[in-house]
Amino acid sequence: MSQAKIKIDNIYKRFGDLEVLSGVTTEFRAGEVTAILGPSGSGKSTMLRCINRLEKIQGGNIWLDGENITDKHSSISVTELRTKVGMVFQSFNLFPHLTVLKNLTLGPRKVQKNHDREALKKRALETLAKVGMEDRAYSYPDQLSGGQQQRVAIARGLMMNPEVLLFDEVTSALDPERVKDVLVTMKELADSGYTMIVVTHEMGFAREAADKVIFMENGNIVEEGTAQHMFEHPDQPRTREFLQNSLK
Amino acid sequence: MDFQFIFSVMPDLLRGLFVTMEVGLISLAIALVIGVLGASAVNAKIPVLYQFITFYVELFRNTPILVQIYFIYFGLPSIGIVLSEFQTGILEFALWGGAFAIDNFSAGFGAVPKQMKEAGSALGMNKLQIYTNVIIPIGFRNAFPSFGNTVLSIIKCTNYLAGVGLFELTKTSMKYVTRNFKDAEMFTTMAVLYLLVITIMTYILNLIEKKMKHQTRRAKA
Repeated sequence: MSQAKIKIDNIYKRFGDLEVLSGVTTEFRAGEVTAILGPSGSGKSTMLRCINRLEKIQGGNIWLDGENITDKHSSISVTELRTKVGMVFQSFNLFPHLTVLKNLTLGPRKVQKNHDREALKKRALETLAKVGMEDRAYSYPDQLSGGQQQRVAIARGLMMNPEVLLFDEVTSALDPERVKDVLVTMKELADSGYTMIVVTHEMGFAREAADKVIFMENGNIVEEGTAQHMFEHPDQPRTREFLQNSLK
Repeated sequence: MDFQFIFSVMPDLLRGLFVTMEVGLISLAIALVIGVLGASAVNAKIPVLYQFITFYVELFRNTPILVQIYFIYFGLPSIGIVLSEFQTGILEFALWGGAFAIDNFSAGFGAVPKQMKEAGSALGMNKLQIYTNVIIPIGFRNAFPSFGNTVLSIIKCTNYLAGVGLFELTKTSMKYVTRNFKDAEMFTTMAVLYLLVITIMTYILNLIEKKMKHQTRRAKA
């Protein structure tokens, strides 16, 4: 059995009086794809954002490769953490003033201080090819469809050579026909061995691509298990109800 | 209308127009720098500096331009700072334009969606890197239309410098009004020259705006 890549232990997150995560504990193994399902407001996205410290947690601990990243004296800096853990957002968040190519090279240039322009460009084009976007390298983001932008955003994340990829409802802002392109890209990444944590409403993807499924509600994990277990005979009645309604 | 007269004084009027543009463009360049740096300090809410900048912006926005010019030209000598009419013009419009530019740019920088900052953070960029590579370029595009108005105001308002005797376009024209009583000729010519320059400036500003625009639509969503 592979070891825990990321471990979350009893984490709490509050926005003012509102408690969004109430003592969540779970772990994500290296090379596994985990789908996090649940109704809106259940804390799925917040949990994801806590992992790369876009949100501060008020209690509990998070470990990456056995290093406590919530500890102030952690040996892993925020920059290092975010290089190892890439994130793709629901609204793509590409930089509108930069071409696709420059969106990809900005991170490596600034964060990894990689100034070998030719090598960087070559790697960016290769990465774009992985997501099927190599012919749009010189387009600006708003000249692309939503699905194309999202695939570019995934490529941008890959440029940092991350070990873990976080996907925050990456298909929710796309029209149904474009969703497929993005899911195909994600499936390919899953097959190539990335550790992926995917917050999604795409039940088909969760069922097909996920090794593990977590169902959350009201800031807690209701149930977690293999995709087969969760979709075919979940223990909790609430899990069954949610999945049945979602699959209708 | 005495066209012969207009042609005979045209070289002098163009010299005046040149002075107008000189003062306008030099102070505009300085105002741009003040605007971007000042707006950055305002957005970062740097203590003391932030209060100081707010005071400076309010001071220059809420007092008449002519009063500011008189203060620089007639007031500063009493503390040993003596400036020529031209230098007075540069100082005044760099500071006056800078105050408005700070307003323009802090609104533009503030309107950059927070998702853009998050995207930068998620790549591991630090605050300064995000600021210079993401916030400033996107915010500059947001601010450009309102900054364009500031640019045109600077050019037009340089004629307040006639008040301290700088021979820019207005003062030069007025010389011929009082000396040769050519009121209609001079006021018309002056208006046409200003209109010409402002129209060209507007055209250039629109061109820049258009060039930057197709890259910003998504940022505002």
